[in-house]
Amino acid sequence: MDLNALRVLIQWICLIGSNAYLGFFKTKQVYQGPLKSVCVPILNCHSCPSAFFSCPIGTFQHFMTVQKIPFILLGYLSMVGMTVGAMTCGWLCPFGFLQDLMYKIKSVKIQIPKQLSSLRYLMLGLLVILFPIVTQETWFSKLCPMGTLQAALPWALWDPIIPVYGEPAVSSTGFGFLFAAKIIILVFFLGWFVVSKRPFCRTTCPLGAIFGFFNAHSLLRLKVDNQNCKDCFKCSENCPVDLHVGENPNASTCVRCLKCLECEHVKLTVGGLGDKVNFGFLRKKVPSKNKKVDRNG
Amino acid sequence: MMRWGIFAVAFVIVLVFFLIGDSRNEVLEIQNNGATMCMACIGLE
Repeated sequence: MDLNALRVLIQWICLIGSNAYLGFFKTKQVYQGPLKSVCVPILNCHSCPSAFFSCPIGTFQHFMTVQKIPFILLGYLSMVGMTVGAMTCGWLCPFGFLQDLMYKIKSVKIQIPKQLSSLRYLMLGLLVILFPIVTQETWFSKLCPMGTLQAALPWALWDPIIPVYGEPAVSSTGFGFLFAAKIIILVFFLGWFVVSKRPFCRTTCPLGAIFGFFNAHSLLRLKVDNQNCKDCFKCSENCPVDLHVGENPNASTCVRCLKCLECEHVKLTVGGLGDKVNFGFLRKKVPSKNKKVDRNG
Repeated sequence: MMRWGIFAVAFVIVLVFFLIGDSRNEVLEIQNNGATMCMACIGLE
């Protein structure tokens, strides 16, 4: 099994494993057991009927609305970030996986300008931190397309009587402005997923912004052997976030999918031990292009 | 070695964060929040 097949397998396992609670059919409630105290390092809505774990961004916003610092969550996210950077985005996140799958649909493809990646920090600063502190409302959750896909749509389509409220999940208040806005945002992103590589991860995801910050400092890093690089750009062609790996292998938008390891001149290092530890087993053998390509054209 | 040193310092800070959070029952708060159906996620607020 090559590295990419292993990644896809792990993405499937994570998608199913983190959403495998079937008790909701009986209780008509979200899972309420001890696993909900665990935030998975991925964007996975904890209001999804079958979600086992909590969403770190939803939890973060909750702490902001009650104006408390989420020490455990910050420690946990920092721990993950400083160990593997944004690798969970590339290997575990179901929303990232969905984007990878939808980009395979044949269509016109559009590149995303690099500058738009700064929007993630704006989302994090405004919708996850500032607005929830000021208004006591979880603004990112209100608009999150993953929440719409995993929670809003399933609950709306199923629409059971929720025991706690004694009312249907959605039809009691009808499809209001917020619900309509959520659907429009979701449709917009689903369309964007088809034409661009991981647009949500690169322009919107606040969790990706947090983990991406650690990419340049984490123990697990990528290193390019520029001296022997043949400029074949194989690493960049494969990249799911359109990075020029040779220029900046540890960019904040990198999701550490490790597809670029298909080139023998890109190496994986752990704490600077890359030259001593052999990660060759991760590499799929591909014929290398020996022809030098002119970078300017 | 420098990178491992930075990691060790950050690790200690993270441990302190966990201790502070634990003393404030944050785990329970995370569980309660995740176990309450979020009406914002569903689109009712």
